Amino acid sequence: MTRRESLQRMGTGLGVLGLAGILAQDGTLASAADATGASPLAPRAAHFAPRAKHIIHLFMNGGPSQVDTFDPKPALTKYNGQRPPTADLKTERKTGGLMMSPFKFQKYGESGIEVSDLFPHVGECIDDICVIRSMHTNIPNHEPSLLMMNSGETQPTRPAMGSWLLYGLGTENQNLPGFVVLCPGKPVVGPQLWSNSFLPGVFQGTHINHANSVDPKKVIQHIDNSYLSSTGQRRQLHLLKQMNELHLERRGGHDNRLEARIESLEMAFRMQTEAQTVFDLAKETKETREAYGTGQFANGCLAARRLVESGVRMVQVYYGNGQPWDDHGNIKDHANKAKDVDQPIAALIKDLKQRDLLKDTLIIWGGEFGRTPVAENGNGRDHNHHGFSMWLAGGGIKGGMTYGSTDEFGFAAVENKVHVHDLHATILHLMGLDHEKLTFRYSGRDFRLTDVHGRVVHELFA
Amino acid sequence: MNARLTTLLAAMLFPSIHSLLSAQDTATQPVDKAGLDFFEAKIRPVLIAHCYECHSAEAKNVKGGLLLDSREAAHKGGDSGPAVVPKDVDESLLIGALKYDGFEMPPKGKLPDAVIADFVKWVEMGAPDPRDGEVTESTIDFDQAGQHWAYQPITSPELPAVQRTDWPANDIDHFTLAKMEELKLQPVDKAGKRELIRRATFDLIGLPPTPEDVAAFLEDDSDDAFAKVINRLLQSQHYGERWGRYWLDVARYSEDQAHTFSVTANTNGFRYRDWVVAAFNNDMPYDKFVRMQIAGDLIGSESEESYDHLVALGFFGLGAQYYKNSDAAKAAADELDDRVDTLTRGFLGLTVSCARCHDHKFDPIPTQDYYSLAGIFRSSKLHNAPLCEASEVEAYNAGQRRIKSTEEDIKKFLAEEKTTAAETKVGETAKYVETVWRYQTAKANGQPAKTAELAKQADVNEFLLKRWINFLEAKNKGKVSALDDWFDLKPEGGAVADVVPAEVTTVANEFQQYIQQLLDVRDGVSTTNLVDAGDGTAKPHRPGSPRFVSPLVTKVRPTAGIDIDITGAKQLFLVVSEGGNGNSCDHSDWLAPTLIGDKGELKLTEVTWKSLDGFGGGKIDRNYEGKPLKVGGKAYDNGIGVHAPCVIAYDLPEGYQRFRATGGLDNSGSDQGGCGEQASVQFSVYTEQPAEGPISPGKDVLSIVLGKDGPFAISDDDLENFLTGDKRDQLIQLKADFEDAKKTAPPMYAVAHSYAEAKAEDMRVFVRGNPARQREVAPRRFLRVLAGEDRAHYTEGSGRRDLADAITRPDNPLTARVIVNRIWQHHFGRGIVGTPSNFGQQGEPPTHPALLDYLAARFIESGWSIKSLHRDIMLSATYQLSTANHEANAQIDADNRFVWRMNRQRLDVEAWRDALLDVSGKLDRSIGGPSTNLADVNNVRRTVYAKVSRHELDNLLRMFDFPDANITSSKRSETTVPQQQLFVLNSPFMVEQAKAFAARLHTEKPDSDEDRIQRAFALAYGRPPMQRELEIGLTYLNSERDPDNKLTQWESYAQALLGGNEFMYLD
Repeated sequence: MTRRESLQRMGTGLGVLGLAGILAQDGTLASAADATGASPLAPRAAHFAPRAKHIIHLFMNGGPSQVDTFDPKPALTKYNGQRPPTADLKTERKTGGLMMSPFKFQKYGESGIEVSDLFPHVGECIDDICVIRSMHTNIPNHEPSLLMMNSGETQPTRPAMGSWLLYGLGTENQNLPGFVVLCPGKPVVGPQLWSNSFLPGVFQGTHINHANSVDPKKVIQHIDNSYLSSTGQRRQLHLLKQMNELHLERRGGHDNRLEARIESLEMAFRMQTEAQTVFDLAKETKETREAYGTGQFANGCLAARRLVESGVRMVQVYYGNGQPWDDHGNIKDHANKAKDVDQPIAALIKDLKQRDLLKDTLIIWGGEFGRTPVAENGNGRDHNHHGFSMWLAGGGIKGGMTYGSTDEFGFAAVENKVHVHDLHATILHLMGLDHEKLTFRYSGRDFRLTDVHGRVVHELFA
Repeated sequence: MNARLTTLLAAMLFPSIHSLLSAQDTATQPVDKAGLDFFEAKIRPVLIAHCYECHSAEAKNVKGGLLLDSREAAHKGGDSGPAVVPKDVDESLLIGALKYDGFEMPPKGKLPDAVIADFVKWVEMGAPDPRDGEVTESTIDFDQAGQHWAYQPITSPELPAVQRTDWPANDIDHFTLAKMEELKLQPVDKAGKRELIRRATFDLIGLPPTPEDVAAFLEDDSDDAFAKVINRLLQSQHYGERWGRYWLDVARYSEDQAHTFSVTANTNGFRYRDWVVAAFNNDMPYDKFVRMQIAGDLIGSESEESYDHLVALGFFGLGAQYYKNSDAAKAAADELDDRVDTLTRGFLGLTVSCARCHDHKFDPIPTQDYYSLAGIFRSSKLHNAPLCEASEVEAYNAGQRRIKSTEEDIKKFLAEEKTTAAETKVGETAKYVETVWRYQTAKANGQPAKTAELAKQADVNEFLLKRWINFLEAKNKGKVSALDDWFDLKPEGGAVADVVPAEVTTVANEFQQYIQQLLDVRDGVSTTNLVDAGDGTAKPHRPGSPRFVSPLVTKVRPTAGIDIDITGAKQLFLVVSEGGNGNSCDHSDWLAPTLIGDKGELKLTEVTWKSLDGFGGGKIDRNYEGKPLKVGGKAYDNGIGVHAPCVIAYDLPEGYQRFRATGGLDNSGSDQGGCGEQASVQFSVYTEQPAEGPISPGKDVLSIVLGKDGPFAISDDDLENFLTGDKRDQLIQLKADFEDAKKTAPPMYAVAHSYAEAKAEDMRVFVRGNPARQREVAPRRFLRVLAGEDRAHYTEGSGRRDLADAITRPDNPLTARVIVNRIWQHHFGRGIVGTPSNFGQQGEPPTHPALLDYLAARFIESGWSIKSLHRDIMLSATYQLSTANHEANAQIDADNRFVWRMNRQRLDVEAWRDALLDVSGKLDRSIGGPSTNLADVNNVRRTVYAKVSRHELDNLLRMFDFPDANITSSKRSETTVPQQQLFVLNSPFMVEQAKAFAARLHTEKPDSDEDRIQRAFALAYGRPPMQRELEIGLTYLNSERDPDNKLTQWESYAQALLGGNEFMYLD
């Protein structure tokens, strides 16, 4: 097999390069890539058979409240206004007595899992969903907790989970970025949340600001050529190729890196068309558009489906600029946000299911932490790292179940606790990766997404 | 009786037993056979089966720092505390973990209840345990570990013998050739002169050679032609831009932080970058370069005008700062880690940070050594150092103080005069109310109601009249209960507007008197409280309504005097409410609260309150934060500090008729930045339980009527017009002072983000990196593996100066080797040691150990001159080899680790972008200065001057493998992805350069396409085109241009030349 052939096979997903091949000393992939000639983004075999191939992470940045969404706590009504000792946990700010949820819960699906009336559409899909009610993390502040949720460390010094996944698995479609982050504007902290950190730059997430619209010409930097016609560009590329081949010929006709760049130019040309097609939501039917509804988040969900359908490894859809779910002032404001996301999320689940993609696609829903059951500023809720809810669906997850629980007020996780490290370990496992083996040698030691922690929660698997 | 007490009693009753056992762990005794049998039967097997995998000396990874394989270790416990406390089930974390209470152990599943019951019983028995043994501390065998090559002294090796004696051009070649001959490798041919000058020029200055440089070199047949080229390039001021940038990767140079919140950008960071560039240009001896960056402030200035010694400390001064809102101790420890990591990997090629939580797993670096170094940094601090005389700093500060104080003077003046101005109008209240009546009547009758005319007739101010009209509209009913009567009045249809009915006049007069009365009470002019107004002007006192209400108390007007009659009252309620904009920063004091009566005066602080209901508790003679009382910048001895909202209730002792106090807004709240500036509170006094919720804002009638939103409020801008005479002149003067202060204030002096001494003290070892658990003291000193067991304790200041000395001692085996290797790496694309920042066990061993020593020794002898090192390397035959392949060699050494040829190297993003700008003729070659924005397509400065962000690295830099500046980087990864090519094909930057390049060619070669192609190749590739290339070019240029193209054929051709592999890869 020539190098060219090998590259082409990589591009179509046939090439398999053991992870060991890409492991190199102190942060260089260059020598490994030289030896094998493979693109660092070419698909690679997992450690074991994966249950999921793609991830869509619906990030409710700001921190949604568990006791108003997926963790009903009748005791809050009973003890409304009181502050029993068990509800006297320290969070970021001063809080008062317990505050009952202004939202009602009802049972959905065959499983009968209770969901609040913030999420009636998601409730209809509850039999595909596994709610983890016992999440916890380290610090009740946005920045460190956003970093923890994305990179497993509270300081901005580690690669994002999406970067780890690309490093471990590559991506299926070489004409699209493998790790896409959709956010209207930017979440707090910003780029460090999708940073490659010490991994090579190709594993960086591609941030797409879809605040105004999903404009296929603008979503990826420089994806559109506004200077030459399509024919004109084809001719220019042909010229460039001729010159590059003469250059190569004079250097013995063989050099992995020179050939890789020649191939990469061709890929870039194809990427222009393919990426623009993927982001063109107008290509969807009227029925589909209506099912998702309108708005930034609906567009984000629809784009996410089109991306995973095209082989993108991981897509994050942030709810919005800044930290919109951060309702310190009035928890009833959750209703506006839930209204934006409820229908699109349900549509996404159903759409993926109908296309037989849900089984390969892991959906993650949640924020960087939850909120207190006690009141802040009268009607609001403070940050809460002691306990919160997230949910998973698709991708090898057992639907219609809840896992773990918080105390009677929903303040702290108590039973079957799941730390963010455990969630990461579980997600990597679903993707076919052993979180203890997915390592990168840097600064004289092997780094992991889960550092020295992490427990795979096997109970969640179908 | 509890178990612990039993033990204690037993010890007291049987001292002889106690003394016998005292040498041992008293809690584990006595050793009874039954207990030990129980341990062997029920406990040990469970520990072995379920716990040892993670909690024994044999465990692959000990979890949580906990060992359970000896008695002592189990008692000592792990990171969270003692696992077993004999006879205390509650304190024994092991029991909680087994019960899945807190920890959940074993993680695979809870053990059966019966087993857990055994453990509980065992602990209750006193946890009998025969397993003696020291707590297993990992030990490093320094003698053995010290054998590693990197710790051996640098030798001066003899030149190895070689067979091809004619091949070596200098000493370096003896080392490389000897290796090649040993491995049966053949050095390939020497590179051509064109390749050589292109390689050397990019290598040393990061730019392509000009066609003229190339021609001159081709013509120079002298033996030292290449040496002359090297010398010329080393003299170029662009040399420092190229090589300084390599160092900035190591220094993780950046001008901001990764976080979003509360980050102050290091906008003066560029001074450090410029210092590094200049240091390379001046060939500053490397040992000095190191010392300046570690301890410049302690070494001192070289000359009077130079502040370089402070700028150089940007190496640490621009270090990472983390988010400290929560878990500040961890964040502070993480910052220390940044310093230790960058220092040790950067200068020493050692990964000391690996020893932060446990002894280094591979290298002889105990955890204590890590904290010895961390202690040096904890004894130092970030510091924005002024780069000027102290007098200049003082002049600047004085200027700023004057701006602030003149501005405050205006604010204070306005606030006072505004209220005063409003208060001077109180006597006209009735007139305004009556005029509003006339206005409303006219309107009700459909007559023209012109405010200007009405104001003139009534001799009132029109501006204020309009405010009164608004104030007395029906929508404001209920705001001031004293005006209830007003709102009951209705202008009658057909009434004559000129005549004001008597009942209106009554309402107006009563209201005016009421306001006046309130003012008198507030100012102590009247001691009559509201209940006993006597003359009927005030509303009768209703039980539960206040005796006293202050105006809004704010930072500008921080006190309110209180002096009221409380005759006959049985209780006293002191109420502080927030002033209508939330509770934030509302720290409030009741200053010198005093009861006065027949019996004299009684400090209320000596009376115990019956209840206190507030946001925070009250503090006697202290403010809310427990600090001394301070209001308006003035300290007070006596008072009660609270936080609004707050109600203090007292039962009044007999015999007191007056209450006097001052309500004050404490500086502890009002000095808290913006929040404090906004803080406002209101003091009120009741003599019965407040009937209405006392904590509701806006009940202050005076504030409503005379405050900033009231009908008498005058805007800041209008106030000047209201003032007359002296007051007016005074305001004009204050404003002139403010303007003058702004104009004459000296500009901000230059600063450097530097480093300074802090309180010098040793740290303790953090157990497993946890700041909350500390172990033995780690004296500030150097690494044992380099400085020996008896190394000196640094006691002079932080110890940075000693540290700098230790690193730059000529007998330090690492410092010279590490920098020599870095320089070699940037010439060859690969270091002699392939892991340039890790010379430890886990790093790669050197391919040419003797050569590394030869270079390091020679480097030190040369006075640590990096430029001499470049000359040595570049004049070697090894450096001058071509990049041609050689099949037989490739079979033996495909990676070219033994340099039988030169490695073909991709230009880094700086050299590539700079070359594009240079060839297009647009490069701005100016040196230094504040950083520029690469996203600006018109930015034509060299890339080294681009802003480097930790928060959001520029896209172009990131795309082309520029390292993340959050951490030190030893070499760049090299990736090839389509996004890079999209930049080449579609970016405005590339198109701009293509257009400029095409235009340049047309200017320089106006005659023919062939001339232009010749010139283009000379500029872009440093060579003439081959016949085939010429043909391809001409064919393209002569082909028909697609009518939709916005570029000419020449422009799109130029873009292809710039985008080619030959432009990006260097032979």
